[in-house]
Amino acid sequence: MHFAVFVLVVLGAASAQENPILLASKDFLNDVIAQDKHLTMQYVVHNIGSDVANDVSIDDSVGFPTTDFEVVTGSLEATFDQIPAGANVTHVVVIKPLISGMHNFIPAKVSYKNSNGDELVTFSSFLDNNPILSTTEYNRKYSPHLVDWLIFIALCSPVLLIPFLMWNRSHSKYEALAAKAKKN
Amino acid sequence: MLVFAILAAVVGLISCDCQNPVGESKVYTTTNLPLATETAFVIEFKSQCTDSKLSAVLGSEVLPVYTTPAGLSMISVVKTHKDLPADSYSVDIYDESGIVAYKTFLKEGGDAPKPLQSVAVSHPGVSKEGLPIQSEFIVMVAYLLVWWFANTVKSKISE
Repeated sequence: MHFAVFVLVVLGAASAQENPILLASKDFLNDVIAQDKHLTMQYVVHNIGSDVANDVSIDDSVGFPTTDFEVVTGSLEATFDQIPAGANVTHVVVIKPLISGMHNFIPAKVSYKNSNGDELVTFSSFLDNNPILSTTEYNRKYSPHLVDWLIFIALCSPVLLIPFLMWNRSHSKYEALAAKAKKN
Repeated sequence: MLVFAILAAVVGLISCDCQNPVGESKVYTTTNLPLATETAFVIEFKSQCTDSKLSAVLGSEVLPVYTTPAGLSMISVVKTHKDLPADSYSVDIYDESGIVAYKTFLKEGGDAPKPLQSVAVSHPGVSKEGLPIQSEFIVMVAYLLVWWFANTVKSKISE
């Protein structure tokens, strides 16, 4: 019985080794994810099997519905003709979140075929819940605040300018009087 | 003779290599520093060579040309900001025989095979949004100048 199980495991392992085995990673290249700002998604698919993977298709359209995300460049679905054994490929898509708040970055679906034409499916890595900053929050942290500083300077100016102008006026008056007295 | 000419034309059509595979193209490069830890180039184009399997070369790296459901062909590359600085790049497109010749050239040297077509990518580099210097630093320098001026005037009055 044990021997039969052992033979089955070895046969299974041998046949698995002849199949392509794809590992997919999904990552965003952003330090910050914000509403209406570009979010660059990178998908890397590695073939760690010993056979070529055919018709490799990456589909992440479920993870980024069109109601919440807009595609800026690229596509949420891509198809590679082949990924040879030991090779890897990269796919990039740039999207723009239309919403803010926590978003669940679910794994992308990767489907492919082995040399027998059997369809195999795997999923990319999972990015979990990540916050998407609203436009207000992003601007509070990362914008140059030029308007805020101009308002601050405009409000501080009377506090500095009025005493200076008063002093300057009386100083000029006494300087003029002193110069007149010296002349005389 | 006419039959022979027609046959030659048909054979030529069947076996002809696509000379200009890249139709209308769209290029995207990363430009905003806080929004990207690495630089990405994304090239989308309508392939005029639907029967040829295309590959791309950027620098000496071979990249696959893949397709999207919209019928466009795409090339993607991601590298660190240091490896893709602001510059003009040329992405060369090869068909199957061309890329084999290119890989042979990489291994054995000799003359690089001529690509079918090249796509120009002008990358302005990554930078922060807004001013190159933080506004807080500018205001601090301005404040220090005002303080220095006021202090100078006060010292003169005190003399």
